[in-house]
Amino acid sequence: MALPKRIIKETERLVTDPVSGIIATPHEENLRYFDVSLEGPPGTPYEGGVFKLELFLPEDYPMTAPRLRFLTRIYHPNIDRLGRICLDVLKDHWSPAMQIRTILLSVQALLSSPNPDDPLANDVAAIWKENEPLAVQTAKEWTEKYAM
Amino acid sequence: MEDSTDFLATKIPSLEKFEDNLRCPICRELLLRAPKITECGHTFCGECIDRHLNNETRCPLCRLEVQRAQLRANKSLESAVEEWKLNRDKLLHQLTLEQNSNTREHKDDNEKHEHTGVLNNVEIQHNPNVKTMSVCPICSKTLPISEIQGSHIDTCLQTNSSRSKRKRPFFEPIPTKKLSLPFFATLSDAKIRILLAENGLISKGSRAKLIQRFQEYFTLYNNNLDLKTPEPVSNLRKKMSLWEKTQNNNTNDLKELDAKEWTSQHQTQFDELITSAKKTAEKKNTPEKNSENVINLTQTEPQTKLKNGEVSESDNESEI
Repeated sequence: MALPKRIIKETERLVTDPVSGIIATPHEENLRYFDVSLEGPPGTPYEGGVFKLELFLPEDYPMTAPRLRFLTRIYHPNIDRLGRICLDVLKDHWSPAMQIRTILLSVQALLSSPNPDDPLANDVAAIWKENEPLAVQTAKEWTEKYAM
Repeated sequence: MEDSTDFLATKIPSLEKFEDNLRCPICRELLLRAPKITECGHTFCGECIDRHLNNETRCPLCRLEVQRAQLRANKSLESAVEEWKLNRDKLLHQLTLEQNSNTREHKDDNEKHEHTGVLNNVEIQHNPNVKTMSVCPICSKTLPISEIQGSHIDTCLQTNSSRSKRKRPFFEPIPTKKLSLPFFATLSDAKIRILLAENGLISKGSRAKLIQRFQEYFTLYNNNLDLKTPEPVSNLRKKMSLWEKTQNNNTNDLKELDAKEWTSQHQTQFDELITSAKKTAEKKNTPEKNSENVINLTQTEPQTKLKNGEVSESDNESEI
């Protein structure tokens, strides 16, 4: 199966000119499958943590969005316990003009601004709304426990 | 691989942004293949935007509504990009040389060499990173001289002559009339099959596959006619057979991955998953406290699979 030029270019650029705080490395046996590590943004409860994600480019990428999932446990209202991410640009707001790097930046931005009003992890979102300091504290603890 | 980022290492790194605008936001190639502009003013390769509009009706860049009938050829940009392409390698070559010589001069200044002219030449030969580059007279790519004089010229001559043979229009007339996209909802499977067969395409497969196949051919065919030098239909058929291959390979690969490898590799994790699932199910049967969790699980279940990465949910589950 031929790998589209665009994927090769994107991969080259990810490796030679990485986005700060994000490392994405393709698997040698499957160049559509990437291991991603993402640093928790400073000033958030995820600061200091390094989160592992998996990323897969489907056959019709870039016409459809990459598939992306957290492998490291994270306490966040829009990320559930299986690591699935509730993010518009991964679903109906995907556009073929976006790239792997822009999607990963969006995920980083999601960590900076959790949105408990559109939750995926209902229990986390409920606590986030009722008692935000407690939620932030738990997120910090989880970061220390799972991501450091 | 050629990319706008090539300019980042030159004397004028901002040319990267300039060239980025001459590339299709979808496939990242230079806009040389009959680029089309949308009503909202964004330009894409004709093929890319057509293919995108098979699934969606919004501009990939600004999400405004876009209709196929409103796309227009962006000829000025196409000509500009053609000119850019002609001069790109020379420019890149020149800018890289200047950049290199600049850094070399700085070095020499620091080391206070007296005969900088001579020393420069010596350095060029001794530094393996700075090979003497030149432009290939046939394909106009910038390459090290040694490579051009070696094997490159031969391969370049061969591929170029075979390319020109293929393009020769004497044997195969180039079609002039565009295809029209039928309204599939009103067509029976049989009619779509006839339509495919009339165009020399495979007429097997599910209804969805038949439609996809015609849409792909429609995209290739009509955009080919918009090119300055359209290819003969036989080339389009070759592209279609490549397309068929990617379609088949894909499903075969996935089946093999799903069934054999994943199960054998991750049997233990699956077993763990099943036992833990049974446990939680038992817990939930007794008190009614966990009702919220049940809803949560059923809601999220259908999307669980990450195409190729199906396994890893079990990884996570076992961590929990």
